[in-house]
Amino acid sequence: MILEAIGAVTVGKVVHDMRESDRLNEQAEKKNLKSFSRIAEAQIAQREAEETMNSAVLRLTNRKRAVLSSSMKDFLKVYEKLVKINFVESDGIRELDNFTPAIAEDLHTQISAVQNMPQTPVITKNVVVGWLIGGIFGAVTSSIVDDSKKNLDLARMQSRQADVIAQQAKGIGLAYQAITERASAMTDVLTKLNILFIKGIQYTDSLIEERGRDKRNYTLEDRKSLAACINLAGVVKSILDTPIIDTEGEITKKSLETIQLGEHCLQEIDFAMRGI
Amino acid sequence: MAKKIIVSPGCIACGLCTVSSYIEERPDGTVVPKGGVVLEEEEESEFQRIVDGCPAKVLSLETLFSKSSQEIISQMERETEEFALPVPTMESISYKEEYMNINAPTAVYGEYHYDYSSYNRAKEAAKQAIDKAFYSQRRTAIQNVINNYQVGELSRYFEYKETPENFYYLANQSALRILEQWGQEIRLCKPGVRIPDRMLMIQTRPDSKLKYHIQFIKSDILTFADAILAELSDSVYSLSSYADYCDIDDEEVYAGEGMFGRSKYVTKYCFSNTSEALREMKKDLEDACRNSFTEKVVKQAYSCVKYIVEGYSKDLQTELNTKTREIQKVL
Repeated sequence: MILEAIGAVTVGKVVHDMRESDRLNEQAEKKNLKSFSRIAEAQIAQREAEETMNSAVLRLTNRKRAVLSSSMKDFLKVYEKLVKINFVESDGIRELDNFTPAIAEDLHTQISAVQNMPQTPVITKNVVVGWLIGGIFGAVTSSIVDDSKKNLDLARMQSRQADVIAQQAKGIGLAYQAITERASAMTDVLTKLNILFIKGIQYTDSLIEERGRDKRNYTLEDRKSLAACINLAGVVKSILDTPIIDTEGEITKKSLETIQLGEHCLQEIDFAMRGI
Repeated sequence: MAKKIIVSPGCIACGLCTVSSYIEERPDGTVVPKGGVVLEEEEESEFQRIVDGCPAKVLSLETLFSKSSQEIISQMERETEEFALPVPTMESISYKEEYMNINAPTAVYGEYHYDYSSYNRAKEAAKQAIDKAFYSQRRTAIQNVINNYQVGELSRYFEYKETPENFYYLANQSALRILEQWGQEIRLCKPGVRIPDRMLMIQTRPDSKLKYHIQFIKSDILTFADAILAELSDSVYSLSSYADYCDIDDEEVYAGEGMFGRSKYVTKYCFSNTSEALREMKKDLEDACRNSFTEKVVKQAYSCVKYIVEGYSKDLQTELNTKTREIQKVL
């Protein structure tokens, strides 16, 4: 009788333990899947931010390349005609001193380098920091229930780690977003300046064509126009030369200054045109 | 004569033509004509200036010839009938080595602690230490690899999102291009007829028919970590066999003074070299993933992706069919 009772209690304990184990395992699995889903969501968001950044940087790189190989190339032809006129400082075109033959030579080199470049997407500097999933956790026991408790503990730890990973991914995503915004702002300014730059080049070319090499044929207004074109070339060149991120992967302060310079230049032109 | 804009290959992405509302910029800065645009004579002369200003000379205008209503309807029916999204191959969602990031600790706490009274106890302690540090987390480590695979290869099938890689978005775009083409033909054929905007829009989204398959690639697939782990069920991959890589050392440790004032020493044991055990464990886990990932995970994922693509293709075809009937009525 006593033996039967002990047997019944033992069987009862085993059944109870197995049910408890199933329950804990199920709970652990749910927690685990939820954690991985959080990690996946964060990584997907980060990947999307990275893709957007790559597109923005690629768009800027392509635009810079296009401006160099079209507008700048045309400007250099006009510039060669312009220097032959032999303006001196007292003629009111101080911009010619700023835009020296050395700068023109530098542009020639850049243009020939760009023309030899293949039309492939540019890979940007990897600013991503790696993250790890690991750590020391868990407990070692032999019973089936203890194993399940351990699974649940692991799942809880995984859940906490998922939060950390999600936070890290969010941080990286924000860094990507900052680069995207800076690259897009630079592309927009460069596009607008380029439209004006092309008009300036065409006007300058036709003016030189009309007035010839004798500087006395140029009125004060003409000289102002020539100066504006050279000035614009300088601003466009400074945008072409400014990197978005430095070798450390940091967004450069200079890129912001260049964007501001470009915007200021656009405002001035807009203001001058309203005056007309 | 009405004209349409052509952008030939060779666009240098200078952005000059983006001032026109008929031109659309792609993410890389190059341009395409906006879908369905038909330029009338007065718009044509305005756009010609942009064509002339293109430094790469890739912009041009092409004269469009009008089709009859019946020809357009036949074209719509034929294109709807033929519409099908390309089914991806299994290679297109294959496992890549970059998804493998199993991080194992390089050593565990407790090495060289002469705390154990016997060889067996030290061995047991080594076993517990490597279990705690990595052995017990092997399933999670594999799930992490599957998670990377999901993010890299399957996430574009999770939900509709307007991002350049999203499967549903790209599929809708391909159907939309067909609709835009129809819109262009109709505008040419019947300039007076106005097709409501909603008829030229694609509204299909992944619906409940695809729910279970999406759920599978989004979440359930992680449970296949067990199938990969089962590859390591052999006794050579047991905890004890990894513990055998650990060294057990003994040392005489001072244990106070004896009965006659003599110093007493006892032999104590410690474990060390867990790094080799952990390294082996990591290597075995990586090998198991590499060898069985395609069989255990990619194949299952592929059958779901194939179902999703075919199902969504049919849904889009149904929408095109509905649009065809609606536009037919308007015409």
